[in-house]
Amino acid sequence: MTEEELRRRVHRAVDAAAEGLAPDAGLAERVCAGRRGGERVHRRLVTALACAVAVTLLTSCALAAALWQQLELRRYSGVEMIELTPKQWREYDWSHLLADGSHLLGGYRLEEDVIAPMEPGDAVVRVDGGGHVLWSLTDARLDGALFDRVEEAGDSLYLGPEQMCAEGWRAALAKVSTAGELQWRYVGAEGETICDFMPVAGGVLCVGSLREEDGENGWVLALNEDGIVRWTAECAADVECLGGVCRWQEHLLAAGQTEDSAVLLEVTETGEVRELARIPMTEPISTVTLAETDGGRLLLTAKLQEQTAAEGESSLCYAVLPVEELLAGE
Amino acid sequence: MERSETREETLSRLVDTWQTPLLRTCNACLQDPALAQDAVQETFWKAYRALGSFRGESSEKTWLMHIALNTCRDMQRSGWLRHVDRRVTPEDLPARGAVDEPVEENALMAAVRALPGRLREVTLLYYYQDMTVGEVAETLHLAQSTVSGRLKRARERLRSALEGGGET
Repeated sequence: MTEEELRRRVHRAVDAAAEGLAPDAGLAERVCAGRRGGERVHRRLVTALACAVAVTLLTSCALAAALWQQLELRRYSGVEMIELTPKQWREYDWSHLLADGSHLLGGYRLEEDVIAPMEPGDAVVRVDGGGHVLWSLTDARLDGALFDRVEEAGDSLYLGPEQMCAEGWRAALAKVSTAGELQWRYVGAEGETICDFMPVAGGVLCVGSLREEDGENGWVLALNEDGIVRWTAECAADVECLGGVCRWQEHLLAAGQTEDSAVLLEVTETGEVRELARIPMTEPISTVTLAETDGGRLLLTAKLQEQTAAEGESSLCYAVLPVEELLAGE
Repeated sequence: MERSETREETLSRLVDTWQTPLLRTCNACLQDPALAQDAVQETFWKAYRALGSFRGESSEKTWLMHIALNTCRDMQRSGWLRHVDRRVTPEDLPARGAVDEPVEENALMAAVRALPGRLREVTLLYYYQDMTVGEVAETLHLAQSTVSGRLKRARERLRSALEGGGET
């Protein structure tokens, strides 16, 4: 097949796949209106399973209270997953996670598809389990923040992982006291991406990727309690991104991905990265995550790229890892 | 951005010019028409907010494609694509819609979809958006040699997939 023929066929294939996908005539108006009217609700419903605190970015405290009712998340033992497409999620009107025997069941309510960064005047709001507003925080340093994750550490909360700055989208973390005061904000350099983070002794550990001339590379960033970089570390060259980090007993573990495998790594407090295991994947991976279940098992999930899985099959793979054996191995 | 335009006029022009190419590229990346529309709306939203900082050092096309591909990556990483109900079997779920309908170009599209993300991105930009290697490199913030290497690997995989599937 010649280059020109390949180009023609790619054109035909992509156009055919988009058949029936019409441009939205009201798009420009809606984007502008979203800015002027402040009607967009900042909804990002991703929350770590271990979250004890919910901090939601909303345009008003009233909306925060209303939305909290939809964000009840709990943890359960014996996690096992299949996956629904986002469209299916929207059609299934679940709003929280439920337990059923050894299975994890769950979902989000997605009434609003728009994900948007904080505008000037928007607030980070903390609510209690009854939906009552405990405090709200407005700070110009958080303008453009798109925080969909929160981790609690003693008397502080870490929020992340990205923010739109004058230079474009950057990895970002903020530390907020449990009383609602912004203590510091870290903004990464170009090419840095934070996918997950967790509090550790003396600060916070972030994992993600670092984009360089030759592509993306898995990357670990350790900040101290004042938001100052303690150290950074990169993974082996073929590890493209680290998608999850968690604590296992006294060990810090991270999950990464290569082009054709999921990788489990141990990260030490001093910045050494040791590969523990590789799990070959037959299909390309989109993301990997790592979590400890209530039952004390370590679960690595690898999401296959979109619909490379056959119709009716899950595109979410999971592995329960024999961590103790892996850690004991040389 | 042209100096005489207001931000709203600039956005409107960008949407008129680039909505369809972005929509098709996002659809090829995300393989979900509804999600592709979300990604395009998100792209223009981000672009609108960043119009003030766009200095025209890159073309509008590479700038928007860069935002769109980052948005697609974010969506693939996000919680939108997670979680579950074991009680609901795949047979209970609604049909996935047009994305799964058989079309003549299915073999090639399936091969493109099966590419790892970073190979698929260069393929779509080079072969579908008709960008030069330099433009692809600018869009993805990569070295041209990296783009050339990825294109070579993508080409080999596509040809192998098509020949293996009985295609020319």
